[in-house]
Amino acid sequence: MDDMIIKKDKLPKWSSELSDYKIFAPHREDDVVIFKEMKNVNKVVLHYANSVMPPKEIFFPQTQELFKYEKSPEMKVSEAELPLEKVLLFGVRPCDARSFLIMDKLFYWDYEDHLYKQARDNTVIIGLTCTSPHHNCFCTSVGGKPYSNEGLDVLMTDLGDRYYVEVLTEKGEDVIRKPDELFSKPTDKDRKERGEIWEKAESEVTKNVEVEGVHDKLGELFESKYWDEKSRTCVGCGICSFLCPTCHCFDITDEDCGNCGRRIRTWDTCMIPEYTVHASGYNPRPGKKNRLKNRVFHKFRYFPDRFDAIACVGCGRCISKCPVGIDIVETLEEVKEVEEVEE
Amino acid sequence: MSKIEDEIRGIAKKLLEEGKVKYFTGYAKGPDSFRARPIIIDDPKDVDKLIWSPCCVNNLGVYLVDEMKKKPKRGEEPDTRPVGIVTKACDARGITVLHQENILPKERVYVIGIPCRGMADPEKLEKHARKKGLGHDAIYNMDIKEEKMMFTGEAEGVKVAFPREEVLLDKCKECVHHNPREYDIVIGKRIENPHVDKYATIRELEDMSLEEREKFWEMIFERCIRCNACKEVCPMCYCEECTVEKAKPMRWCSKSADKSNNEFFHLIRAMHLVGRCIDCGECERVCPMAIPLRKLYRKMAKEAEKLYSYEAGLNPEEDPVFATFRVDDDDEFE
Repeated sequence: MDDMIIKKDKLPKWSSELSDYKIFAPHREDDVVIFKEMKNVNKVVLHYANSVMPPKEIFFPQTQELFKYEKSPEMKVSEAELPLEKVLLFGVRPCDARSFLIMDKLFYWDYEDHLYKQARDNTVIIGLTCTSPHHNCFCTSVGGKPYSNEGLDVLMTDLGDRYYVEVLTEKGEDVIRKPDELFSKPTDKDRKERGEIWEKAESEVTKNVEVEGVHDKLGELFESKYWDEKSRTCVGCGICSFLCPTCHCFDITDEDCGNCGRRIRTWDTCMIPEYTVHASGYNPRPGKKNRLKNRVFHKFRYFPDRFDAIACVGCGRCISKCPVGIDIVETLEEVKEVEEVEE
Repeated sequence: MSKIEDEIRGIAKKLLEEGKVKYFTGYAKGPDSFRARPIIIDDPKDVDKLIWSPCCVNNLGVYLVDEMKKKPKRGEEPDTRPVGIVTKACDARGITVLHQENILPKERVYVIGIPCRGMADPEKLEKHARKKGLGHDAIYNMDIKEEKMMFTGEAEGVKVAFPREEVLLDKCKECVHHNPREYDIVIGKRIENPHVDKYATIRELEDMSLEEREKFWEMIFERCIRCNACKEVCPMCYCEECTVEKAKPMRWCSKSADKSNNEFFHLIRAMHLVGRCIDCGECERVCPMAIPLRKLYRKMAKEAEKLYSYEAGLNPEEDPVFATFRVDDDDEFE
């Protein structure tokens, strides 16, 4: 489909044409921007660096029921209902869109996760070019761009009073309703303007790190004292992993209520001791150093080894929100500089 | 470099050189101009990394709890020298609570107490800096100007001033204890405590009806992502196994991050902090979902003060409010 232009004042009309979709878009609640179901298009916020929470929750909910059970003589088990409704995810930043492709690798790996897949298949993703990157953004260091269209069905770029709309997939075509009435053809001026905005945005991503070589260097640093030093001030909370668009670990527990109950999966984080503690009480990752090291290794060594992709999209959330200022970019720079002294 | 910063470095250097402390916990420059970050140093050569600025928001007391939890390796003599630490007045009161509760013996810590007029909220600071065209990496030399009560800084040769009230952390606006009470050494002049409403943050809520309050908290608790940051940064949350994580013999709090379990989580924390929370405000500062946690704990503090004339961390000789009993205590269940 050819590129298009839509005036901003036509967004309400456009959204009303999409009533067959459940629309999720960024909303401001108190001081945080989060993705919520859209009830009123005027409540959607579109001027923000990025949402506090990545939209991964649409595909990988923090709490998801797997099945219910009843302890009757015949032991009744009812599987969780598949998420069947059509979903439109609006206003996703390009970094977060790339994270979906990374999560796909995991969830479609040795076992195809049907709950995740169903949600993915049902969802159309409309991205929004990042026009004013935050100072902790570093997408360009890990293969992204503020205007990357990877993982998106539609990419929109804000041109002031209108959006430049690029339709990328068949799924994307489905959300272009009433093209003659709502959309127009882009002019050369529009194209030029978009190019300028893209270029400016890219130049504003100033935080960067050369990740080449990090993978191999990490291999030499498994026993390094560097991790003792680095993890000394870590408080061991789950902010970095819960706010990470690519962190995907989960725990499975039962909510038992006597004769019935349900099995749920919930987000988990490798930053807490409970993540690895064995039934015997033994914990192979007993200290903060083991846990912080694992998170870095997983993103920049284990995941690349297994899936040929770095499990980081450079959104900068973990840097901005770490209570003690641990900065992953700085960590990677330090990793490259560490000199191991043979003892 | 401020005078206070100079003195901190001097004391830390001496303590480390003479081997009087096991290590020293202070503040260092953060990843951007809006935040300082904690640093732990062993080598006297590193004392120049220590800073003192309006960005020193963290309560470093949380690391003392870490220290007390350390178990010596088999056959190793434990190093029981004190740990050196920089504290603001609120943080110092936290250490008093740890003393009272027998978590931290006095001889295990060397406290540098600093009278404090309040610290800058990193988020507000970032917003203000942006408004004034200051980037996160602009040369930014901040100091607390006592007489003007402004946060001033310099960027590219242009002097920029932030009105103190606008960038101050909310908890600092409501603070009535600017001076540390328990310390080994104090740096800086005594500050007169202001007459402000220390429970200002809960006034609005108290005026609401029960239904309105329920609605208010429901929406907020629903947002919680249970990242546990509030309890991990809290020096008062030192249990080996937290009741919300306990899975055996039964799970009290489900891992479901839903309204009901989130509420349970937060109310448990609130109940466990009565007469213990010293309002360092770290929980509220670090919460990524902007949950106004101080409102819960301030309400509980107010109740403790009303019922038992008790305020946390003021008197090391006093027993913790829930570890003592007086015959004239209010007993509404009688």
